[in-house]
Order: sequence, then C-alpha cells, then structure tokens
Amino acid sequence: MIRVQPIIKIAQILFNTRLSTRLLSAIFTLSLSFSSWSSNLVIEITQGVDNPVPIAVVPFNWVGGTALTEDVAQIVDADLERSGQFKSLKRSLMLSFPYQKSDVYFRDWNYLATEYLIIGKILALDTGYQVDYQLFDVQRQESISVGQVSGGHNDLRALAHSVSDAVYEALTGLKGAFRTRIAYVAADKKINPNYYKLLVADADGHNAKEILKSGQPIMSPSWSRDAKKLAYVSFETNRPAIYVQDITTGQRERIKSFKGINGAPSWSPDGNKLAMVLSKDGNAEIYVLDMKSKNLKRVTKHYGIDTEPSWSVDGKHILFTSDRGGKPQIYQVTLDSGWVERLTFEGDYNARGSLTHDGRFLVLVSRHDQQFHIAVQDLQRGTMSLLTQTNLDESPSVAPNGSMVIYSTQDGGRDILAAVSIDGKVKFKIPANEGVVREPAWSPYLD
Amino acid sequence: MQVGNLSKVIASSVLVVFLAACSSTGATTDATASTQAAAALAEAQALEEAQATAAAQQAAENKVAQAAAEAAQKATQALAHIIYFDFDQSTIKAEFRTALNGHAAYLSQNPSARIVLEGHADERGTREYNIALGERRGNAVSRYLVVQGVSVDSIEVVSFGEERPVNAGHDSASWSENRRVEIRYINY
Repeated sequence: MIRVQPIIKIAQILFNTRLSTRLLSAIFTLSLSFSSWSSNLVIEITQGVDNPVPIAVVPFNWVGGTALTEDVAQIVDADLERSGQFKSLKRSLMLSFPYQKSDVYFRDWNYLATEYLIIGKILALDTGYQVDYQLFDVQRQESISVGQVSGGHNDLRALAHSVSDAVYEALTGLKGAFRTRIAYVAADKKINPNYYKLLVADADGHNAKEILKSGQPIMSPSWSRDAKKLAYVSFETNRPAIYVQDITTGQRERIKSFKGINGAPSWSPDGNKLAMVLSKDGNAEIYVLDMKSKNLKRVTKHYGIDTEPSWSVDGKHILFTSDRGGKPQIYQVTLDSGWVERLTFEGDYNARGSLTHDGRFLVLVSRHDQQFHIAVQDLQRGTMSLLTQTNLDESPSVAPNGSMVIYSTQDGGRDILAAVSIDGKVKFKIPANEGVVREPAWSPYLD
Repeated sequence: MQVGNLSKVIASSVLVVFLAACSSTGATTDATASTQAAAALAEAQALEEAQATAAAQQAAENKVAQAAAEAAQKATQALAHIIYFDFDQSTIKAEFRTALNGHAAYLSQNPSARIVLEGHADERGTREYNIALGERRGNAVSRYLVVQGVSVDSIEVVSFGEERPVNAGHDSASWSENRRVEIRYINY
C-alpha cells in the first residue's frame, strides 16, 4: 500500500489565478516508452493551455546499488505536462541536479525562466521505497510543499503519480488524478475476428492489464467506488449479461440476467447498488439492483427507450437517456418519488450524461450539424458548450477531480481514446499502439 | 391445411347424424325410428370407411407436407434475411414486406421452427442507446411476424447495438448496411 504524507502545504489561491490567465497557445508532444503488450495506450498532447507554467523536475536522487526500473522524476514531469497546464524544462538545460534545499541556487532556475522547481530523493526500505519530494516557488525562493510517499517494490510508478498528485494540488488547489486508472475496450477484427478485450491501464497509459478476452462484444465498463471492481456487459453467451469482476483477483460474478437487454451498469456512490438497463418488461427501462439483498427495483416506466443510467453525487437521483420526447435527451429521476424531469433542451440528440464530482457540470454526447461531440452543460447557468470538434465522439468519462474528460473518437478511420479538459483548453489523443480502443472509464481515486 | 379441413368436414358430418338421431326420438313412431336408426348405422359405417380413407389420405398428405416443408425451408433460404432501417428509426419499409411475409408463412406452417432476430445499429450515437435501438428494430420485425400469424414463442430478439457492424466504414453507405435486423433460423 502507498502512504502519502504532505508535511507542509501553503494556500495557493495566488497560483490558481496565475495559472488561469495565460493567453498564448502551446502545442507540444510527449512520447512515452512502452512495453510490448498490445493495445497499450500512447499519449500525444495536441493542445495545452495558453502559455503553460514553466516548471523543472530535477532527476530524483537514488543512492541504491542497482539502477531503478523507473525514472520517478520523468514520470512526474510527464504527468504534469499531460495536464496541459505546465511546460517542463529539459534536463539537458539544467545547470545542476539538486536534491536537497541547501543545493538549490534559485538564481540559476530563475535564469532558466522556471517558475516552480521540484526536487526529490528515493530511499530503499525493507518493504520497498520511500520518495521524498519538495516543491519550490523560484521567484519567492521558498518551499511550497514538502512530503514523502512510500510503497512496495513494484510501486515506483504509483509513488511517482502520488508525488504528481501532491504537486498538482499544491499548485492548482485541485486534487490530482494522476494515480488513477482507465478501463477500456479493445477490438479489432483485422487483428483477429475473436478479438474483444477489456483492459485496465494506469491513467498515463502504462501497465495495461487484460481483464477479459472474448470472441463476442464487451461493453460499458463501470468502476466500483473503491476502484477494485468493474461491472461490464459481455455477449460471451451470445446474449448480453452483466458481470462484476474483481480486477486484482480476476474473480467474477454474473448478475442474474433476463430475456432481452442486460446493459449499462452503473455503481451507486455508496457502492451498494448497481443501476442497469433491462428490457424484460417489454422495452429498455432503468432498474436498481441492491448488491447485498439482490432486490431489484424498477425505476422508469415508459414505452420510449430509457437507458444509460448515471447517479447523482448524493445517490438520490439517476440521470438517464430517454427518447420519450421523440428524440434522445437527458432526464433525471428522483428515486424516492419517481419524479422525472428533463435536463437538456439544446439540440436533437443528447445522450449518456454523467456529472462531475461536484455535481455542477453535466458531461454528455451531443449532436450538432449531424456530428457527435462531447459537450458540457453548466447546471447552474443552464448553458451548454462543446468540448470537442471531432466527429463520432462518444463514451465520455470524467476524472474523479473533474478536471478532464476521457472519451472515444475516430482518428484516421480508427477508434482511439482522447481527453479534453472540462474547460476545453487542454486536449490529448490516446491511440493504442495496436488495434482500436474505445469506451474508456476513468476510475475513482484509488484510496 | 387441407388435412385440417378434411377432419373438420368429418366432424361436422358426425354431428349431423347425432342431431338427426336426437330429433328422431319421442315425436316419431318406433317403426320409423328403427328405420331411421338403421339408416344412421349405415351412414356411420360409411363414415368409418371414409375416416379410414381419410387416414390414408392424411399419411399421404403428411409426406406431401414434409416435402412442402423442405421446399419451404429452401424457400426461406431464398428470402431476404436482413431487413434494413433508416437512422434512429424502427419502421419496416414496404420493400421488406414480401420477404417478411415469406418468413411468416413458413414459421406459422412450421411451429417447431425458431428464429433469433438480431437487432443492429450504425456507429452514430451512443452505444447503450444503440443497444436499445437495435432491440426496438428487432421488436418491430417480431411484431410484424406475429401479426402475420407467427407464434411469439418461436421468436427471440437479441440486440447487438453498434457492436457488430457488417461494414467497418465510417460513411453513409456503410452505416446504411449496419442499421439492420438479421433473421437467423436456429431450428427449421
């Protein structure tokens, strides 16, 4: 297990405003090295914020005998760049590699136009590693955040992501979501007619792990709130059924299935219930299954299509897609009363809505001028804005801190994943190194 | 069909004889009653012979029916097995009625026949919505067949949404091939 211990943290409201008032464009590409596992993800940043904040992540000190398998500072560097809000200094331009405060010459870093500096060291423990890190404001010549994280022998990448999370939070005020995972579906009949895979990778695309392989479609992965299990739909019996699988042990359970649709599983915020779509009573309706009592409760009742359930933050409402008004739109049902209200009115195709962690923004798929884009509706102001300009964008999934939306789109005729910040300013593509990938689901925080 | 009609004819003749026997009791004399009874007996014997002939005929016709079923199976194979739809629509277009009527005729004449209607959608729109749309298309075909006399028990609808396209292209020609219901016989 990984422990995070922030020692000093200073309120960073000042830095927030500094981050958000940049006005020039910056395009940069980040390439990462990968293992040979197929369907691994490759991240290419296509658009960052205007004038990203210059930072420097100095190689972390390591005095152990053998070289480490991971370059921790490089992982932190890549995480921060991937947020689109930072531009990091190349190592070749650094004048020194300090790993403690007494060795930092702020004048040098100021000369290199670095605003923030991150240094650190890695210590060997009997059980694994400890990473100490420190973040400095170069102009003020002061430490903003100091902390240490520790974990097992195979946790170096996870420890690096924890450092990124802490640094990101110190600089933006928003909890980082670098130490999270992405579940996704890979499928490519050109590779193999029986090629459908459910995979889980780290949020930076590394450590892709196969969860399920099938000759029949796999759909709609949904994370449990503790990020330990996935619910998904598999057609492996030639009929759709919902399965719940522990991603560590591989143990899985088939949810009782019915004639017709068994689809769109979605975990409740308390982790005890699974919303789903069944058509056993005639057509697609939303149901809620209590995972403990196995009590199944029908939530919607309409001859139109009701599908794609997604919970409100407090677990008292379920958002869903329905064509009860003639075209697909997002509705919300209050579970206690059964009261249904429509949430979207702009456009003739709005579907697969889900809320950000704070409940303020509704992220959805919206059709405009015959093209399908990812859009966000501000539920306080009622305004909808498009986050993407590409076509056939679908399956949006919001990071647990609400900063980014991962989705699937088309690029050069094949399905790839892509991500966009909730304000539309930062974009990156995440193609697979092989085949097509789709239906990304961003995990909750891992602890 | 012909076999069924013949047994109906036999049944109604028996009924006529029985009614004649009933009406003869009470109001008529014993003599006339016995004459009528003898006539009824002769008629009943004739009927038995007719039934025997009918049984033989039925056996012969069963053979014919079996041959007809085989022919029908071949005939269904000649029918279109894929019904296409417009975007976000589940209305059955007129051009597919002939094929569906052919399947309906076969299915209602062959109660042991079973079909799966696989509903599909094109890649536009969201995946789970397309699962529901594929099912709605399957249900539309199912309802059409049931109205034509097919037992609802011989039909199952399974939707694959946009998960199993026949054409992997991303243009309107590919999409129109993917918006479909496939009729699959799992038992003839």
